[in-house]
Amino acid sequence: MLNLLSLAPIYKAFIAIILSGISFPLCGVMVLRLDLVPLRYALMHGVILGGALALAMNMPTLPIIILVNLIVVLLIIKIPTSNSFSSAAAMVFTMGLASLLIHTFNVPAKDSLQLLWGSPFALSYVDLAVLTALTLTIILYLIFNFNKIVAIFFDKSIAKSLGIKVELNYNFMVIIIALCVALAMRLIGALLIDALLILPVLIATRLSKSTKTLFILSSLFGLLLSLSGFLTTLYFNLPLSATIAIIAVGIYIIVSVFNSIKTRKKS
Amino acid sequence: MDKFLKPLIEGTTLNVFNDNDLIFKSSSSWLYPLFELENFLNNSSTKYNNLSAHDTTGGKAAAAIMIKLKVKRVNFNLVSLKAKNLLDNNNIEAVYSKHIEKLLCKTEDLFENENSVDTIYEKIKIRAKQSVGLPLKIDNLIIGYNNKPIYKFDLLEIKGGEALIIEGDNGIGKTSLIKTLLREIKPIQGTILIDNKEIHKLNSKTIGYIKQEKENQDFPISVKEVVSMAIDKKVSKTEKNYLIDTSLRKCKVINLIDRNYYSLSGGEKQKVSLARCLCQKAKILILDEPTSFLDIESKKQLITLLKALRTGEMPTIILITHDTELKEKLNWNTYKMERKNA
Repeated sequence: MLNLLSLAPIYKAFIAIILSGISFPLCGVMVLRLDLVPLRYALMHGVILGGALALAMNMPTLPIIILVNLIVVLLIIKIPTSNSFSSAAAMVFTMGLASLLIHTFNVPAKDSLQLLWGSPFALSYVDLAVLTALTLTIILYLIFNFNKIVAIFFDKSIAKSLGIKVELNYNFMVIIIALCVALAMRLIGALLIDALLILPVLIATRLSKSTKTLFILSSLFGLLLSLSGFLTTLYFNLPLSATIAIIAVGIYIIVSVFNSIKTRKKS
Repeated sequence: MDKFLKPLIEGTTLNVFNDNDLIFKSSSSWLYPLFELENFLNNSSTKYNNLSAHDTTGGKAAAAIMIKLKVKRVNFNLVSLKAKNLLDNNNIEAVYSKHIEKLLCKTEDLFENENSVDTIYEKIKIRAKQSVGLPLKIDNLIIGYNNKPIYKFDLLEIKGGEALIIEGDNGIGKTSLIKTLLREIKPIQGTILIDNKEIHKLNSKTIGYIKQEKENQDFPISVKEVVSMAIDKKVSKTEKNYLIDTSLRKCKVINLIDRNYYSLSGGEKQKVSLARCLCQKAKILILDEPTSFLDIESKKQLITLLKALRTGEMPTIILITHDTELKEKLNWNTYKMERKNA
């Protein structure tokens, strides 16, 4: 198995899975805390639209899906209705348009399925570079703005009263989420993004008493899931996204059961 | 012989002892030695339970401060009989070398007919500019959204360090007033001056805000994180830890520092929120229905804490509430927003 790591597609996937394991859950904390779950769904559908557009036009996938996701996010931010309504409308529109493009331009089914399940072993060096840049951006943003982020998570009006630029930081976090979702699609596909984005956070929430611990544990669990998923994939020749998802749910169930036993013992 | 009965140390105007050990001295004049003593006691980690003091002169104001600081025995070189009466009524043992009917100064005149220790203490702190609170003046102010007026204030003034309860029916504009003070919405007309400066020119951390606490959330955030969000980024780590520690101790919640904020009771959360505002060094506190969702015990604790705040830092406080019991127990000035304005 270790010999496999010397092959370019494998080691690129390995680096990508480590970076995404660390950074995607950090985004996931923002998604859950800022109540952006509907937005995440809209972005997942946006990714499918971007992917369908790129395939239909025979263009590189990653820049198109990033562009589509950024447009979706900017429209949702700017349209003066609730985020949930805007996200629902965006979801329906993007899926409808994606379906139309796939049909109209005769995009092969196999290529369409790659959008859903991901293609971690087909990453380019550009994909890796973008992922590295995003990971560094997220980590540095968190390190240098931690107190502000915690204040915004705690209460936006209190954060504003402390002089924090809430809208600016909120919009920045939404854009990071859009980029994360776009990159997650390349790795593990649009359908299983939650395996790395949300599930590590849900696991970590059960074990954390502070936001700092939540971020750290989410990232550690993300790394654990992605590494274990990757090694299992290589060993048993299984699809990466499905393996990570199953392991993630398994750990989530174990931690939940452990937590409820602990709570019952305390009471 | 008890040391507080001996002559003052040369060059000093106030000597304070605990169990006959000198713990504090000052050579300032007027009431400043007592304010310095108050700062010393507030910042000291040691609890002093047997204070005795030797002061040069004692009027009613000095007597009120001594009572608030829990001095048990005091020796004055010169004391007014009004001060002596106040001390006797509060079971403070007072001895003196000389006495007069009344000190001949404006401060003594100010409290001639006042016998409430709390009132004398609050007024003298404001007079001496010992409170951190800033004065607020609302003049010909119309508040509202998108140029639709909701309420008009003719003139409302709060002195620095004073506390004001604002009450009014639902929908009259109390929340809009809070949003205007927090600069979330702009006034349609008129001005809000804080320490004679327009509100938008203020340092962002001047106003501390405490909301009513609603339901718990399934999100981990520690008490330390809640309190430290209010601290300036430029502050050193040592000072940051000192500020967090001091503010949590003052609000009597230091034991909760590592707990998840959302696992606390309503009363505990409000105390942590107060600690956050102390860390912020807020000069004006806005409390919005702070006793909503609190049980009886938590409400009592919050009232005690708010009263203690009036004897400590004394920020200017604006408290919005419907709670009749809270209004009665605090006994602060009240401003009623009435429906004639629309």
